[in-house]
Amino acid sequence: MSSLLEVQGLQAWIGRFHILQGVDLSVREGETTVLLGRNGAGKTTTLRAIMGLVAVRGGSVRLGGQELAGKRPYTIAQLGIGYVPEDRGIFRFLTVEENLRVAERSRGALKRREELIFGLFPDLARFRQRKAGYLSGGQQQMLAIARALVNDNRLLLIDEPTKGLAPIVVQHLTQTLAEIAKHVTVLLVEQNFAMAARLGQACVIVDDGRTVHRGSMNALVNDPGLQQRYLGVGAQQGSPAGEGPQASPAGGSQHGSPAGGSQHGSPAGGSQHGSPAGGRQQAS
Amino acid sequence: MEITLPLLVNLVLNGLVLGTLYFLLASGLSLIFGVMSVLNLAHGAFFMWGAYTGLAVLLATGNFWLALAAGAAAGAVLGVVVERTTVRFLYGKHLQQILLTLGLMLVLGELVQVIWGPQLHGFPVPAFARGTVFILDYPFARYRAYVLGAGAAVLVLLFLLLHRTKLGLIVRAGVENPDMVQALGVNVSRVFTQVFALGAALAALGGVLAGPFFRTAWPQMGNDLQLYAFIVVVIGGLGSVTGAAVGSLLVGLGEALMGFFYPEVAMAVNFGLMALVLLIRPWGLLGSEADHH
Ligand SMILES: Nc1ncnc2c1ncn2[C@@H]1O[C@H](COP(=O)(O)OP(=O)(O)OP(=O)(O)O)[C@@H](O)[C@H]1O
Ligand SMILES: [Mg+2]
Repeated sequence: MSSLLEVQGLQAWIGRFHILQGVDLSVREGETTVLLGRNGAGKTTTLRAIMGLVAVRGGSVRLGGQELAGKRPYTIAQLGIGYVPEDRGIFRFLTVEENLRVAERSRGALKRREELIFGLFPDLARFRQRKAGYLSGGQQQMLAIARALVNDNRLLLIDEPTKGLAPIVVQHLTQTLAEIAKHVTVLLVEQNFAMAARLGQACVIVDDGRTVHRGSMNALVNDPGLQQRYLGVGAQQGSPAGEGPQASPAGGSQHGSPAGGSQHGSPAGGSQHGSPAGGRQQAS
Repeated sequence: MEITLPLLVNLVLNGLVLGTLYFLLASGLSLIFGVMSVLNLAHGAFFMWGAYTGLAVLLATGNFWLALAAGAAAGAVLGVVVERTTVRFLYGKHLQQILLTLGLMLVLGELVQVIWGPQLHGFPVPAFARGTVFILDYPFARYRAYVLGAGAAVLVLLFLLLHRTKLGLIVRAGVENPDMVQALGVNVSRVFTQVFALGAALAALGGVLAGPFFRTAWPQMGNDLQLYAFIVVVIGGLGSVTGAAVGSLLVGLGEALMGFFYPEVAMAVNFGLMALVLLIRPWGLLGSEADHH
């Protein structure tokens, strides 16, 4: 399989801060690649730089061989990338349908994708004319993902879709994302390790703005030492040998276990991420 | 002085006319700020250029409708030129924007004097709009009634534009989150030009309509009204056209009534109103709290 997205030596600044100091990653066509790293490692900034929302000041970002660095975000989107940002970026004062229509890059795009989108997210069909601000957090996340499906995108960039959601919603969302990932290439940022393990085939770990590991998700799942070193997740997180990323139903129900410690907001999660990078101020 | 009902009705109607003029300035100002985060200090200059262009066309052709069209078109063209050649290079740079638009305000203000001189110019009321009409049995200058009608028409058209077209949808989304709009593949660069041109055209249209109301055109007319438009935008909420409409009527009515009964405190009342809104709802009466960071 060839690689659809190829990022090499990516450098980016936010204001005066040199945030990305050499991110390398590749996303193979048809696969889901998970981008992992501690809080503040530079995952969100990497996705924003790929989208052109943060200026690329060094290195290259190629989509199917075409250089994206220096292009405007809308040009990059038009080349076939759907972006689901960490804060979801939904338009709260627009209805669900209007949110989807903003994304239409060609006339009738939503009409053509309606069946698929509302099939995956029946809630959105039900609340089609409701203002997006009134949706629950999970529904807002569904809308953000649905918006990336309105066009025929080659690649989806999805930033922490499970952030702040209840375990039951996470479980449901994981299934839906697995369904979506069958049809489109995905670069996923996900802190919920169980979910990352279930969805990803390949993984990239960034730390302090640099790529520190690239490999298969399977290998990472089976290497507690590696997890400990770069992600700060406990060794108990590592699944028993042999249980690969496809060990799914179990993976989905692990949220109550120590694995759930990687979820956001839990005090345990905070202490587990007590790395130097985690101490940095998080912009929100 | 005795306050009679006819007097009161007349003052209220005059307040609505003033409100209409403020609305034409403030709606564009508010949209431009809402979508591009640009505080356009040259907005009043578009208003003034509209008035002078309209006057020139009216004097040349005697046709007020043509004057309206020419004024609005001049505003749109000016808006496109200004956005494409200057403003677009300074998106996100607020201090530079203020310096730039302040400079544009001065240059456009001087330029009009180079062509027409610094003096006042009489602005005739078009023949068809002279005389009086009766509103609720009270006499009212016919031209002012036309201005009210024009204001209502613009409000309806603007509402349809915002809620029934793709451009309107993008503008409403852009007021909330412009980065996300472009990350979805919308050519915001083109949208910015269109919004800027629309705002400038509305202001210029207001300038032409204001001419026969004040019976004059003068070089500072735009700046004089721009101050009120800023107050309106703060009261109504940045980025909200409905807010601009409500704010305009409040300020217009306040101006007409207070200006008549207590002229010495009229302006203070406007600022007081603005301060009150800022205290209670810093995002404006109809602005969105989400945009208030
Ligand atoms: N606006 C900003 N100004 C200064 N520093 C910033 C800004 N935004 C992000 N940073 C810093 O850049 C670094 C990378 O941030 P980024 O959001 O990419 O991390 P992340 O890996 O997505 O983290 P998280 O898991 O918390 O979402 C962090 O150290 C953060 O503090
Ligand atoms: Mg992040």
